[in-house]
Amino acid sequence: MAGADIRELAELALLDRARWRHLGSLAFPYLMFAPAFVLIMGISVVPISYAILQSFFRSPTLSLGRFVGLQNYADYLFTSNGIGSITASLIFVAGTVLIAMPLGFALAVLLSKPIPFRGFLRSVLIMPWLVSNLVGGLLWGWIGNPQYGLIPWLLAQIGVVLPNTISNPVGAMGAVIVASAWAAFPLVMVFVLAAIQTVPPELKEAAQIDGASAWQHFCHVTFPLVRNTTMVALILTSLHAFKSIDIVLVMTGGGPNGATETMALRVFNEAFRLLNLGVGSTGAIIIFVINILFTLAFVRVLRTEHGV
Amino acid sequence: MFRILRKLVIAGLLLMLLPRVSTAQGTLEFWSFIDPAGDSPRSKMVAEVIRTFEQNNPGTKVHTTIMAWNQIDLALLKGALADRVPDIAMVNSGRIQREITAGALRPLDPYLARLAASDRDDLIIPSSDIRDGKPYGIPYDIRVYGYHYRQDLLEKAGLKTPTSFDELVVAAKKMQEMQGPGFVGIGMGFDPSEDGAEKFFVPAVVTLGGPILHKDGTADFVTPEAIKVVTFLQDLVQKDKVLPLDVAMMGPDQVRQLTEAGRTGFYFEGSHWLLSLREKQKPGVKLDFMPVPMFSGGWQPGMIEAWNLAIPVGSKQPDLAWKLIQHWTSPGIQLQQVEKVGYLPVRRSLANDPSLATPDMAHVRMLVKFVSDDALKFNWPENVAALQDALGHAIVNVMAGKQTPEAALRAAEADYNKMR
Amino acid sequence: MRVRIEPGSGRRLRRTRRYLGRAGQLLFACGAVAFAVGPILWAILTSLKTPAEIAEYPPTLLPQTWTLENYVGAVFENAHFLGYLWNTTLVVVVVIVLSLVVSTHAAYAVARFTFRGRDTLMLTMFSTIMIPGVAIVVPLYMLSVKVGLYDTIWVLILVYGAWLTPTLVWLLRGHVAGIPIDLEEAARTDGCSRIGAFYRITFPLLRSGLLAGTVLVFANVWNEFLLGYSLVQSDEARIIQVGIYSNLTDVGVEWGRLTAGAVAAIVPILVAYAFLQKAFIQGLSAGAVKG
Repeated sequence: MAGADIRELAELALLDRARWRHLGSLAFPYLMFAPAFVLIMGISVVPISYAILQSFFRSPTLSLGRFVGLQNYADYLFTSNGIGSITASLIFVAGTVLIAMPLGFALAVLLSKPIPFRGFLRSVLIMPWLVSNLVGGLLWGWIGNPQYGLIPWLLAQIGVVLPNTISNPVGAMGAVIVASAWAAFPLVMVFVLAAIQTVPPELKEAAQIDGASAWQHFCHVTFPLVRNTTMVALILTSLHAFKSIDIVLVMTGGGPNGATETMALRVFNEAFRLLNLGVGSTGAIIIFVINILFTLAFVRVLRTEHGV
Repeated sequence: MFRILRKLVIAGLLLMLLPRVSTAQGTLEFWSFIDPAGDSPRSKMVAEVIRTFEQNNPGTKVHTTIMAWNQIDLALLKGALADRVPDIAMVNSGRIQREITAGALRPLDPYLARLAASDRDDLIIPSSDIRDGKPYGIPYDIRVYGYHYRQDLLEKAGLKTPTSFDELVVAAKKMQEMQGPGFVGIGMGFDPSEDGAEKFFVPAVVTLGGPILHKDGTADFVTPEAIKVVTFLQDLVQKDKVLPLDVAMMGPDQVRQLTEAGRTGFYFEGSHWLLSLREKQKPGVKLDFMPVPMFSGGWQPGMIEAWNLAIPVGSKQPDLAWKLIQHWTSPGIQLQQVEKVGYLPVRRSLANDPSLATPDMAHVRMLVKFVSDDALKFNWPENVAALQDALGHAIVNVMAGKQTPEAALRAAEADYNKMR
Repeated sequence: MRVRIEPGSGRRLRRTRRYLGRAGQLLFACGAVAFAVGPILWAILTSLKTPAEIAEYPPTLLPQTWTLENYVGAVFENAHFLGYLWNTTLVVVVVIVLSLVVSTHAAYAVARFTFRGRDTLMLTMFSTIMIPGVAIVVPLYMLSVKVGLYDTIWVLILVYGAWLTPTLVWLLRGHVAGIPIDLEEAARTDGCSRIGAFYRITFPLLRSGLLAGTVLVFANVWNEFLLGYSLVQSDEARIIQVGIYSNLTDVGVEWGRLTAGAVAAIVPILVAYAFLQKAFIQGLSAGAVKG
């Protein structure tokens, strides 16, 4: 009798442990994921939710203030430079991407080939990324200054007159775009290079044997394989350009008549200089929404082209 | 790899747990935008003030935290919520009203009441530091805004110091002729995120009699006086061509680079920069300072800016803080400051001090009168930043020819009323 | 495939085209290097000039008198600057450890298991990359005040860690997926617990991913400005970019000092990158393709 009891107890105990192990194995991924989740919830999700809340209130100081519904959104869009700041942001991002992506991509292709000084080039071309945006903006602002900068002076020596980077809206926007693309292309280059390096060498050889020209080889073999990564680089670059204030802040402070006042800069000014926190949060939420829409659009394009 | 990482983390944690600077009895926490460890004349002056203060008050130490000058008042407001306020801080007269409204500063009349009447009256306290008859900050550095100008070029051109805007423009044009391309007749920076509207435009309009604000605080920008001043600025850029548009859009710091390189005829800035600008000039160049003239001739009432010492409400050593204020505004220290850094003295009596009778200091003697008259009667609003922003954008738009003066000022009115 | 074997002209044409192609490549590479390095070179040259020479117009290219006075003033004899360097280094190191640890665990969970809510959680996580810093600065300030971490190094560490985690998880997920699961199963049958298998087998194999992640964290934290500016006010906890900016606005612009400080600030990250370059690109490739 005792033996049977003990065996029953033992079987029950084993069952329990199995059940615990089963539960444990269910919980395991959640537990592994938990620290990251808690960190992100606390630092990103909670604050952005609060910011969304704050965008519906008028906050004269750092407290919440009174409820004003969509008034802040209207204020943002229809005062000072509301629509202008949206246009400025779009132009800034587009300009940055249109320069940084092709440049980074072309350099990546170049650096994936066995050219002389390749190691040296790889280290040197990454340098803009190692310099902070703040310092880069300061340097470009100084070099391009129409009154005492190096570049306008050098160009004037050979008779070329650039649009004034301070008083001319086009000149100013051009200047910040150049600085921004300068800071952005190395990352694109590194991403694409990394992707190219994963293309199996057999594919490259096969194409060469077939006698395909370099261009055809690129189009039909390399590009499809790196397209994913290129898309990611594109998304990261544009998101960063949308969010950044460093360059515009120190180079033009918003430029002639707000021509270079991107949304991010406007939000910064409203929140930090004018202490207009309601409008500040509002602008920030608008940026957030645009970012989301943008990314969704890209991902959708990516999916359909893949046929997924 | 793990072991190294672990060691690093532990080292880091230990370092961070190190006790913060002790706020033992007798330590004064001081927020300053001037670094006593720097080697500019004003840095050395601050170091000297602190040193002599610690000497005169054995057992006290001053712990200085450095912050950018345009960050201090924000930090004070933020700090008040987090209970991280200093015992004494440098506060700008243009921003102090905001802090007074937020209840961040202590009124200083109890301390002033303890002084002898003559001592009290000797101190120059601008009206911008006062609310309801109580001062909330005592200046340690007062400056007037005006033009740093090339005395040597004026002499070469056979002109005397301008006393009206018309003469100013004539002189600037002549200097440009003499010096050739790359030379800027009148260097004034109106970057909206800086303070050009606050320091030049508002005083010029107020002097003409323009109100700027209605009694209820809403904007009253579209007045003949304001239009006159804006048109004047526009003419400087477009008609007289003594102020290039890109220079007009710069901030005062950037324009100063031109002045330091000897490329401006007249440079609009505070009087406190004169000594340092003189040092940077090439031999043979003479820089002097003049107040802003009026259209009708004569000097405008001075646009005074003061850097004050203020005691936050949360200060743990208010009495000790007041001692530092007394020390800094004492005649001995003030005279030293004038000579070494070029600030104006904050005591009226010092204008007649024999040590300031040299020709170099002529501008000081003249300007102290300006400052003590405090004749510019304008009730600065709380949100000066909003005023600067709205008017700044209007000025730049007009100078660039993007808007007519009336349209720009009207738009600025709408913006200001929304922002304040 | 048609192979035209025509001795002489064909080969010459191809050779010319190849030389032109090479010349074009060379020109392009030179142009890119000039573009990338130009401003930095200018900064270095400026930092070695005397302040008087810097103010000269027309600007001089090479210094007429080479001097180290800017470095002495901005870096060597500047206790603040060295303090900022130290603070930033500390923050970077701790963030690297924190974010890599947290991210590898999360990446493992996401790559190896399909659990309920996985896709939603991942989507939420990745969408935080789209949040502009300016949006959460004020709420973060208030939060940090409530928790008592305002104006300390810790608030920066936590915020940077949280910001970088999504990117790192994306990167490491590909790496984890690339490690064959048989290795872990083998360890399990040998009696290893699941978590033990992770630490003993998977983790070490993530080396290149971790190194790539280190570079990403280093670059992003070292060069960060906005949050360092907003969440820390006192000198003791200030980071380097904020230090450079503060110097800028105090005395206007002293280009000699500024460029000296900026160049000094580049050196650590340059050194780190020089060591980790190969691993960085390798690590990106494994993560990039699978991701």
